[in-house]
Amino acid sequence: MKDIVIFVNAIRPSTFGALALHEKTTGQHFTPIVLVDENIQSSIEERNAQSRHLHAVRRITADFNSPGSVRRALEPYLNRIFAVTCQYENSIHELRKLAPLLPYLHLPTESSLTWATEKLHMRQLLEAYDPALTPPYINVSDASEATMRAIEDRMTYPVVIKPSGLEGSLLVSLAHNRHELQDAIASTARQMQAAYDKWVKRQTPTMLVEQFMPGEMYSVDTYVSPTGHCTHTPVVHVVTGRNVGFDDFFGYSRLLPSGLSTVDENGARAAAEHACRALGLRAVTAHVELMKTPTGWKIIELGPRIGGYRHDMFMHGYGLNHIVNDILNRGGVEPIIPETLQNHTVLLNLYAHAEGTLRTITGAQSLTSLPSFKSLNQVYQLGEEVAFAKNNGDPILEVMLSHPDKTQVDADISAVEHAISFTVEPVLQQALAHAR
Amino acid sequence: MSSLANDAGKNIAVFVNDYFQEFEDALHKLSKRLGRPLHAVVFIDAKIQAEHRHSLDAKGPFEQIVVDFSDDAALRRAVKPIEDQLLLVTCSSDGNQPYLEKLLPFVPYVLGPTESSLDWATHKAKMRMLMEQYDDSLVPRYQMIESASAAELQKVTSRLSFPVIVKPTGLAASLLVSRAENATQLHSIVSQSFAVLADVYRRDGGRGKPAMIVEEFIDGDMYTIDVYVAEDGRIWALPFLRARTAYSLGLKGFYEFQADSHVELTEKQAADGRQAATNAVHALGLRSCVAHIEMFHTAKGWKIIELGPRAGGQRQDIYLASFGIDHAYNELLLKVGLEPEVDITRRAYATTIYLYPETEGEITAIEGVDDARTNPSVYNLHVHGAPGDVALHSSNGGKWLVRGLLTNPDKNQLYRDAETVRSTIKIKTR
Repeated sequence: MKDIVIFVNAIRPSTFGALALHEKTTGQHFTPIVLVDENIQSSIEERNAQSRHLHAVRRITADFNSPGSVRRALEPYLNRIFAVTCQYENSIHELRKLAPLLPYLHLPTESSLTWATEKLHMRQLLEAYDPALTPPYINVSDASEATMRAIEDRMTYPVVIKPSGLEGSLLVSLAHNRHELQDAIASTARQMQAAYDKWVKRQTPTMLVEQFMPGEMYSVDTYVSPTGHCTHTPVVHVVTGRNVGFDDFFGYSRLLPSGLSTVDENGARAAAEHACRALGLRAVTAHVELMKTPTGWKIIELGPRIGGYRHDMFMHGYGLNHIVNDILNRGGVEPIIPETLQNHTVLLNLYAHAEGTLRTITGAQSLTSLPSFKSLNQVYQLGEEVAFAKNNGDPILEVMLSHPDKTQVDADISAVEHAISFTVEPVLQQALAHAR
Repeated sequence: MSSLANDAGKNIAVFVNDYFQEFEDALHKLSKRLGRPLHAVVFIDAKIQAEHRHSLDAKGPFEQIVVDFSDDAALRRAVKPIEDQLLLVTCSSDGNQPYLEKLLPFVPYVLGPTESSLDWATHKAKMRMLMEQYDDSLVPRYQMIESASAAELQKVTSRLSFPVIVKPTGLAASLLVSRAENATQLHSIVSQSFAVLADVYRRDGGRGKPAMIVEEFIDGDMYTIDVYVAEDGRIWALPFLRARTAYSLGLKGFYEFQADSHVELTEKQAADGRQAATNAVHALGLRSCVAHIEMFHTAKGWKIIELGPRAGGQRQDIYLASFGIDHAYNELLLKVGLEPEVDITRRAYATTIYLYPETEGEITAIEGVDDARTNPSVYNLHVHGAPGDVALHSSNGGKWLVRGLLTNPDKNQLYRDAETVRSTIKIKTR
C-alpha cells in the first residue's frame, strides 16, 4: 500500500484538513511524514512557522549531505511512499538533494530545481526556449559606469531591480533613471545577504536588472505530470502594491476568478506551460507569475511549488483541493480540478504605509463580522519592526474573504480598507526620541 | 506497452557523441517491434567534435546536432525542435556519460538515470562512498588522494594495509592502475601517476578533478556482469563472465587480459553475486540504464571493484555469440520502458583477447593480424594503433592495440585457437 507522503523540511498547516477532506470524499488515505534536514532544522522550522502543528505529524530527520543518513531515515517507509513533495520554496534545495536518493519515485530533475529557483538561470532558459516569454534582463553585481552602460544598452527606463534567488517581491524595486538605479543596486546589494539568511536561502546572492513590464499581473499554478502533461488551476488576478499607491511590488490583493476572458485565461495557461517546458519541469507543481502586456504574456517568475495562499483560495473559490492535487500529481495520478465557481475569493496583504516599529493595529476585530470574512492572520506583533517587501518585509495582516456574490466581496474589501489602520513609529523618529 | 513505446508521435532516438553500428541495428529492430519508422539523431559536443573524439561508426542515415554542452541555453535551443518526438536518449561509452548527464535535464520526459547517479557511477571515490554507506561489505577499504604529498600518502598508510591497488578516480579501462606492496612503492607509483594524470584525463575525458584512489588489494577471482535496470529499479542480470587481469596471469598491468563466457560458480555463489551487483546498482540509485559491474569473489563474499552506467566493452558481441542476447537492443528496450529479452540458453563459448606491447616504445609493426583473422574461432579482431604510434602499458596510461573475440561451440578448441591467435600476432616496438 502506497500511502505515505514525504514533506521535505516542513508542512503547511492547511495540509491536515486537505488530507482529511480528500479521505472523506474519496476514501483515499494519505499518511504525512515530514523529513527534515538536520543541518538546518531549527532555522527552517522557525522560518516556516512549524512549531504550532509539529505535534500533529510524524517528523524524521537526516543529514541530507549523507546519502546513507537519508537512506536509513527512510528505510522503514520506502515501500509505502506514494509521493515526495515540497511546499516551501526555501526547501527546494533539500528536495534537489533527495531526488537522486529516491530514483524509483517520480521526482523533478535536479537541474530543473536549480533553474526554477534562480531567476538568472530561469530567464536564460526561458529566453532560449522562446524569447517572447521574458523581458530584456541583465545580471549585475555593482553600480559601476560599465554596468550602467550595459543596462542602458539593453533596455530603457523604468527598470526593475531584484535578487536572483528570492521570491514574493522581496527586495524588488523600480528605478526611473540612472540615479535611482544606482541607489537601488547599492541598497539591494547591502540587504541581499541578510534577506537570503532570513528566508533560509542557500544560493549565492546575485542580482538582476530587467525591463519594467507595463500591464496587469496574474498567476496560475500548473501541475506538471511526470511525463510533462500540464493541467492548470484557475488563473488568479494579482493587484500589486504599486496599483494601490505603495512604492512596492508586493501582492496587495489576489482575486479569484481573474476576470479574464476564456481566451486570455488560455493564453496565460499556454505561457505557463511553455515556461514549465523551458525549465524541463516534471512531477511538480509550478507557481507561475505572469504579466499581461500589450505585446503578450510574459513570465515574471516561476517557483517549483504551490503558490502561497493558493490552497485556501482555490478551496473557497472552487472546492479545489490544491494540496492534495499537488500530491496526486507528484505520485503520477491526475489532479482533480472542479471547474464551477462557488465563491468569489480575495486574499488581502495589508502593509503599513511607513516602516518602523508597529505600535497599534485598529479595526481587526470588526472584520470577523463581514459576510465574506474567512480568515485573518496577524504576521507581526505590536512592538516588532515592520518593513516594505522591497526592504525584505512581510505583510502585517493577511485577510481572506470569500462569498458567492461578487458585490458582497467588493463591498467587504472596501470595508477592510476603511476599517484597518496601523500606527508605525518610523525608525528616524525613534532615533530622535532616543537622542532627546 | 509503456506510454513512450505506445506513442506513435515519439520516433526520435538520441545518441550522445557516439553512434555505433550495433545501435543502428538495434534501432531497426526496435522500429519493427514498435511498428513505426524511428530516426537516429546524434548530439555531439562542439569541443568533442573539434578534437575528433566522437565516433560515428553506423552506416546511417542519421542526423547530427553539434552543440556546446557547457552552454545550457544552447542545449535548450538544440533540443526544442525535436522534444515532442523524443522516444529515447542513450549513451554507450563511459567517457561520454558526463555529456549524457548534461543533456538529461533537457529531456525530462524520456527515461534515463538521475544526473547525480551518473556522476557517482563514473567517479570511483564517490561510487565507493555510496556503496560503503549502503553496505560496507560491498567494497574494499579505500582512500582518495589528490596529490603525491606526504600528508596525502599518510592518509593511506594510516588507514589501509598493503598490498594496495592505485587507480585514477575518473578513468575507466584499467588505465594507470598499479599495485603497491609497500609505502616506498606507493610513493613511486603515485608520483609517476600524478605526473601524467592531467594529460590522460584530457586525452580520455576523465571525470571530475584528476585524483587517485588507493584501495586494499582483494584476493579472489574476478568476474563481470552486465545488468539491465528498469525505471522502477527492477533488475535483469546477464550471465557472469570470468575475467582475468594480466596481473593475475603473471603479466604486467591490470587490464582485462581475457573474459570467458563460461564460469564455474555454484548456483548459490552466482545468486549471491547477482545480489551484490543489485545492491551496487541500488546504492548508486541507477535506473533506466545498463550497468557493467566488475567484482571479485573472495573468501569473505563478493566485493565490487567497479561499476559503469553503460554496457561493458565487447559485451555486445560476447553475449550475442554466447547466448544470442542482443545487448544494444535490450538497452533500447529499457529506454522506452519495455522489458529486455533475456534468454540465457548457451549457444557457444566465447573468450576475449586484449594485446598490449611487451615493450613500450614506438610501434614498428603489428604483424599476423590477417593470418589470425582466418582462424575459425575468430568472431572479430580489431587493431587500434599503427606503426609510428607510441605504445604504452595500461599501467602507464596506454590502450590496447589488438582486441578480439573468439567463439566456438567446443570449449577446448576455443582456448587452443585463442592461444594460436595470441601467438600469431606480433607487436613490434623500438
